[in-house]
Amino acid sequence: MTERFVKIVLVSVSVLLAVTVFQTAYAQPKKNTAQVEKQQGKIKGQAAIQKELIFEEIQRYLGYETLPTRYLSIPYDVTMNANVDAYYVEIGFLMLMFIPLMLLIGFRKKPLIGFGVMFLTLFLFVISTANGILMKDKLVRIAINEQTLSKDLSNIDASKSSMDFVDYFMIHVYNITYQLYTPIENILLTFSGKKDYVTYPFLVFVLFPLLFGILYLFLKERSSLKQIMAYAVLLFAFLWMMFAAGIIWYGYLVMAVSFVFMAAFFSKKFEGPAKYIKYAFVGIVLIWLCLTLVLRISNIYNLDQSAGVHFFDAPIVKYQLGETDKKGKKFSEEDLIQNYFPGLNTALKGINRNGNDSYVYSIGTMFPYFVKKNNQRIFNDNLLALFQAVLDRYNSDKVEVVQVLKAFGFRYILINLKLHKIDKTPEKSVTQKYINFMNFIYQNPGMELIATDRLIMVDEKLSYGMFGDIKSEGSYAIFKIK
Amino acid sequence: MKRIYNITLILFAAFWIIIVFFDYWQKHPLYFHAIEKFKYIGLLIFYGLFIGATTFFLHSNIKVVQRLKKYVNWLSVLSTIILLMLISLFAYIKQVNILNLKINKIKIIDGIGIGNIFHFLGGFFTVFLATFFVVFTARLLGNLVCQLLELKNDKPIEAIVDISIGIMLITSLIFYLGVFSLLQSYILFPVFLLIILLNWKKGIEILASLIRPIKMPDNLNWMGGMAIAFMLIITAINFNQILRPIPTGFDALTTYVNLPRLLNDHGSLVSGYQPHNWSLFMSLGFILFNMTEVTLCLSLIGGLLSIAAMYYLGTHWLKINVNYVWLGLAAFYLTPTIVHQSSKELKVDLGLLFIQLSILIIFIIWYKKQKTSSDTEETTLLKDTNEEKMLKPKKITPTPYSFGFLNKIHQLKPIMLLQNSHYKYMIILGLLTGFALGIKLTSVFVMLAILSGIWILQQRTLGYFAIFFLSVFVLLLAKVDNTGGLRIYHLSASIVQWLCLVVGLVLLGIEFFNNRQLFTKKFFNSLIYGSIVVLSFMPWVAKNYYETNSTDVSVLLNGKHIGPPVSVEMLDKNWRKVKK
Repeated sequence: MTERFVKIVLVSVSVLLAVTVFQTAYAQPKKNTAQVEKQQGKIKGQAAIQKELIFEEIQRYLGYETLPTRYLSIPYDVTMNANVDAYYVEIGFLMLMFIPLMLLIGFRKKPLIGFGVMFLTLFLFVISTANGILMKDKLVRIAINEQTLSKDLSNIDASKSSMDFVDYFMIHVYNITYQLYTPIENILLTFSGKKDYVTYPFLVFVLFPLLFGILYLFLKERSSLKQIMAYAVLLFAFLWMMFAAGIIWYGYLVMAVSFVFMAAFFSKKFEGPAKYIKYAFVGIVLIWLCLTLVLRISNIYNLDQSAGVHFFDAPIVKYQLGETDKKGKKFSEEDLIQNYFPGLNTALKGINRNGNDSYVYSIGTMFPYFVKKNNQRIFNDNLLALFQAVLDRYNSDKVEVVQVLKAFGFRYILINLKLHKIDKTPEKSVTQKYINFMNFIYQNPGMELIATDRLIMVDEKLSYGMFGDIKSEGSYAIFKIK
Repeated sequence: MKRIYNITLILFAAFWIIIVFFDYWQKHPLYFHAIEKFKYIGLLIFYGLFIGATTFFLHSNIKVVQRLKKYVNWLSVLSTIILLMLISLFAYIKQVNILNLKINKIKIIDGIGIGNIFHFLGGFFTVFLATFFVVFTARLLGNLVCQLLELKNDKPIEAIVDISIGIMLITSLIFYLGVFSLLQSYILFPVFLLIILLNWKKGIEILASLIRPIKMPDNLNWMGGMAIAFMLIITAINFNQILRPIPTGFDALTTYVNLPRLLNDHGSLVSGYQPHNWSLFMSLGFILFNMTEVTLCLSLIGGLLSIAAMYYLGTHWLKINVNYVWLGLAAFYLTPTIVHQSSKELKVDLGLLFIQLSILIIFIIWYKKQKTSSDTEETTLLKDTNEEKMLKPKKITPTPYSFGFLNKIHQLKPIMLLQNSHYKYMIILGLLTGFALGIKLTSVFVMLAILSGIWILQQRTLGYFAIFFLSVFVLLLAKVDNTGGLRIYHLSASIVQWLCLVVGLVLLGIEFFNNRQLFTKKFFNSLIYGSIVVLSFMPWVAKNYYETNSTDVSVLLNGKHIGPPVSVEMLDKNWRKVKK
């Protein structure tokens, strides 16, 4: 009975799949949407805009190097934050440091495989570093290439401080890995590049079985449940690597399980060299705990006079403590907003006025939360993709663009003044769009600045404004369409 | 050879540790600046003393300390966190005033008195109790379901399973109430109270356990003690950071806290957005208590629950020395990305992590039950239970149900069928996976991982590979890589896609011919699991279809576009119309 059922199901599935294959193979070839849109005239279509947006917004996590390298360098990149550097994507170095060592310890009885794993680790290290970045003077991120290695990064003085010694050391390491990588890159470029036919087959039919094989040999003597769980997590991790574009929080499960596995592995008793690696693990984890705690307490985001003080936020602490002013008025939510975003409250009063259902054009701002019915009213153009297309459509005619937006129902434009900082594209396309937007705003008779926290010097006095002698870049600006 | 390997191993390890650390240090100058600009020496000394004292206290065998250990319960843990919160806060106030006196000649936070401290504590307790109320209700609801289905878990894991199932059920409830615009506190409060009432006996037991001494492992040493102290400190800092009336962080302000607020404003589900189960759960902060802080805390709680789940995975499944478990947990919880999501950018990822870990735990429970029930039968994955036998009324053992009618429900025919079937685990797994998919679509990876886990049972590597290839086929067919814009770079994607299908089916075929019985059982498990996942996710698909009238798979999964529909064409068309 059951067998018959299975047969029926299998046959049905096969028929269904055969039909799908047939349909796909003989279907009329569809034209590339973006191409069609391009052919149709001057207007940039949604598909093209969307494509551009994904390239700028999502792929920055994965990087823009030669295709196979993008995937193979993911473990290194996400640890070193080679593509996106921010607190929110910082996963620490423990996994990268100790997972290869765990494998090597596990293969003590199979030295040949152990040597193979060492080679693989070094190989991945070479291709990852050669496509990575280095910091210069602890401030500037410099992408590794022949020019930067020979010019920008060649003048670091090792005698200055211990920090510079690390710079000096790493630049030499990167020089070596870059030299080692050059022939690899040449080989890769013969069949790959930014696009290719080989990366997917390589990942699916070579890399995954290889990783499985290593794990299989590593876990051979462990309990079947541990093996099953490890294989399941391997599948998760591999699919994450292949499809999640390097976005770290989609793979938190791998991270959590890895920490548990590391703890499990190093909790065992070892003899010989493995014992010292175990001690190193404990010591380095304790150092890691101290480092991360200090990092959190100092909470540095600006290297100014106040650096190191921002353990918490003063306005929030005032709110938490119910601080009152001299008139006895308690520090309120409105005061808090005023502290974070000076002038925003006044602007919000207009935007949220009863009966005001006008559209709001938001460019990378955090303000949807403050706008009533924001899911119906706010149009998010986070990286200016649509705005640039509109400017292109109307030949950057400021007056006409304002009228077009107004005619559609837009009354406000909100912009994040730090938007260009997230640009990781090799072409700096987001920065260019930001500059174009600023040109659009500049002396535009149809736009009125109603709030900003940017400080400029006017008549030797600091005041809020957009253009002039900028003293503090600020974080936002709100314009009203007249 | 072995000797050469050992020497190479130690040299390689030294090289690798140095290189990774140096490279990390070079690329993360914030650590350098954090140390260079460090202003909180006093606080650091206090933390150092606290870590030392905690380590001594937990590790020591001195009689006085042993006696004091009897007072370690959840309330004293909470008191310690509050103490740490207050001291951290005062350290900050002192520093920020020093800085402002230097720059602006005034104190930025002035005249803090006892009243302010009570105000702070009042705020904290309100948020804490509100969050506790929600999680407590979820636990009781989950427990009720577990009791009805006789999901016999190991005692310590029980809480994790109860809470995850409870959160899932409560969120489903919010979804359906939202459909009928019933997301109001006057509706949800009675429902919550009813849930508590239904399982009040368990409720009392849980409340009593809060003041009962925590049983500490005998082998806890200095390492475990230090790790626990670090965890307490960072938890206190995180709590300090979330007690605020507005969220900070881009994603929180635009989506993850914005959405719960919109749900509260509308009193119903809102149009658009990807499936957002955890945001529905977080919306309880606004709906029940009208407090942003509670919403933020319901996000933070995901991280703490994940830690608990990891603890149980480590201690009860992997049987790791408890000191190493704590060390691993502290290293994970203090990782900047986790700290960020627990205090600054409160999103749904840690909640999702908790649900995913719960799925793993239930999978392990299922596996263990399989093993114990089929120890002697090599090929039996799921015993075909005799229906007659299943329906035979069992001896009524005293159950902790709070009301008699629950006993009657317990003995209903369909419930008993479920109780006696191993499929109940598959059903729960499926429901939780569907729930996880409704938090983030990337949970499809978890679903595929669980399927691979089912198919590799009894060392069936071919089955595992079959699932892997079929997974790649499905994901490529669904163009998941296009979400990240990666498809255009892979010119062979469609070939790989079909090749994976063929290889996957061939491998499955081999599995079928090798062991038909086992294949059939795995197939049924997968079928049940997959179907329940789809069913559990279906409400979101229905919502998206209702809002868009589209049958496009991408639209059905991702939902309606948020905000006004705008494109260059639309703007242009409208402008031409206006000009006329």
